[in-house]
Amino acid sequence: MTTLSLDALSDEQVLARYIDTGAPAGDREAAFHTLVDRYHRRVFAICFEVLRSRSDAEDATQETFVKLARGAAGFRGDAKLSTWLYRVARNVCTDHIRHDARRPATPVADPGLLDDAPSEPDSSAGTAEHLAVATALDTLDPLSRRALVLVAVEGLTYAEAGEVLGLPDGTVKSRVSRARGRLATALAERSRSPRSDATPPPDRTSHP
Amino acid sequence: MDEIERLTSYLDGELEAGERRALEAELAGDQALRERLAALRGADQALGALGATELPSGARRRLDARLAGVLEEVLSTTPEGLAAPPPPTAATADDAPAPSMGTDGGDDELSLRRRRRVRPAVTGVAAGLVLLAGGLVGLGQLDLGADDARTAESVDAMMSADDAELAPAEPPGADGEALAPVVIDDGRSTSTAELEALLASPELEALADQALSAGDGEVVAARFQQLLLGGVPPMTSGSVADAEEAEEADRSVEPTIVTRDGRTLDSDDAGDLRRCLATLLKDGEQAIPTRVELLEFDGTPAVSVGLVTPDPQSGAFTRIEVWTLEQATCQVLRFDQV
Repeated sequence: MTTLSLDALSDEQVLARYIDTGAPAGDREAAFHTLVDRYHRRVFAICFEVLRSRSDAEDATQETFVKLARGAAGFRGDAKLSTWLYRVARNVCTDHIRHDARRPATPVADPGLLDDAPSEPDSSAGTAEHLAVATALDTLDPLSRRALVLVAVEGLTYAEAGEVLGLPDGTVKSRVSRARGRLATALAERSRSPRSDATPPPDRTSHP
Repeated sequence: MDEIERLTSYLDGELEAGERRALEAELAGDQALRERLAALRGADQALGALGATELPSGARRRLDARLAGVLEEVLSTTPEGLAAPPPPTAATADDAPAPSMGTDGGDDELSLRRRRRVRPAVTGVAAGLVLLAGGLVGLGQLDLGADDARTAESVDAMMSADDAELAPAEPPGADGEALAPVVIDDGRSTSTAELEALLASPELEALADQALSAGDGEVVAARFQQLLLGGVPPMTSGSVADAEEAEEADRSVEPTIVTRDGRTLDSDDAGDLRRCLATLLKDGEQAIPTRVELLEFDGTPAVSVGLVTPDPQSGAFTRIEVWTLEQATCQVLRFDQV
């Protein structure tokens, strides 16, 4: 049966089935759903890391897969599908941030923090320790934070994270390394003085 | 390799045997180093305990529902109708967002603009940009009437005709400078605070202080976008198909971009600048790209774009926004707004 055989195929082979115009529509659709099975959660995680809103991340995730469905024929076989997909997700999310913030009907409440706004309450992040880590993560600059979370929490390779962030692998690796160090420092400081405040918000009222 | 990289590589089991032994010897004799390693290990464990992001409940069902129509459409399309791969070009290899991503609504214009940068500018019709050192002096003298068509004429007259006819880099005249975006490339390295300070740039403030009406602002927005991006100004009326057709026809006209100190930006920088600007200004957005600067932010080459945009309530062009995008990817690094 198709589903069984698909499981044994690489992403690129599954994609090849999806775009095989000679194959029955049902088989092609099954191939596409296999790719969704493999990447839905991870694409969502990437979008969530960039957009910091679950509903926005879900929208962006849907858009990414719609783009995959429509644009799969343009995939060049010399790249890994995951890499390509993450790049698409990155572009969708970047457009989303921009479009959202600029939409007059929904002015951004605190645009200065757009890039590193604290995460929404998350059902999985209830414990004090999770909160401490989340707070410490928010002291990192947005790029370092993203690099660290994508690699250390979401399990992306340096190359995949590089694709999401638009940075070379080596840069991602050294950024992640430094971010781990800074996170360690932030957590250590926090455990010494639990009430110590995070960096105060930037003063955007200096505008005369 | 600095200390932190040595320690993280050690924890990841990536150090060579010799390096590992050397580090272990140091650890044995250095209490502070041991504490730093322990803190690092603790942070790694805490991160690991966060757990990967879960999908919201029902997300798959909603995705499948959205995909159903798309898949039906794609799968019923004849082979000829499927999106063909874009012609491979060296220029798109490293930065193409999504190769040939089909025809999904508003992305078309954006991808068009992104592709446009790989086309060589047509010599002879390259438009020169006159860039100001001192801000938008001429703006206050403009006859910006309420009637859009009339305004368009007067603004055009002030800004001297079509791109193709603009003399290259005409120096600012004594009788009030030409009205154009300011482009800066001083090789500046900036901090977060300095990016915020850009909100108070004289160019941006001068324009926002004019509080252009919706109609006038639209005309200036279209003109400024055209001066930087080339092609036809984004359509504010008429059908989408018309706008795309016009853009398609005209997209090879890329203006030369001249900085405020009179230098022509090299084509790579100009291409990046245009690409990032196009990322910001898709959908014929009502925004006046007033001040554009190539700079370095947090060690990363970046493009800072100062926009004057309409206030959502009044509709007048009084809002100032400064977007900082990574030059290589046009990813948003920072956004400030007054």
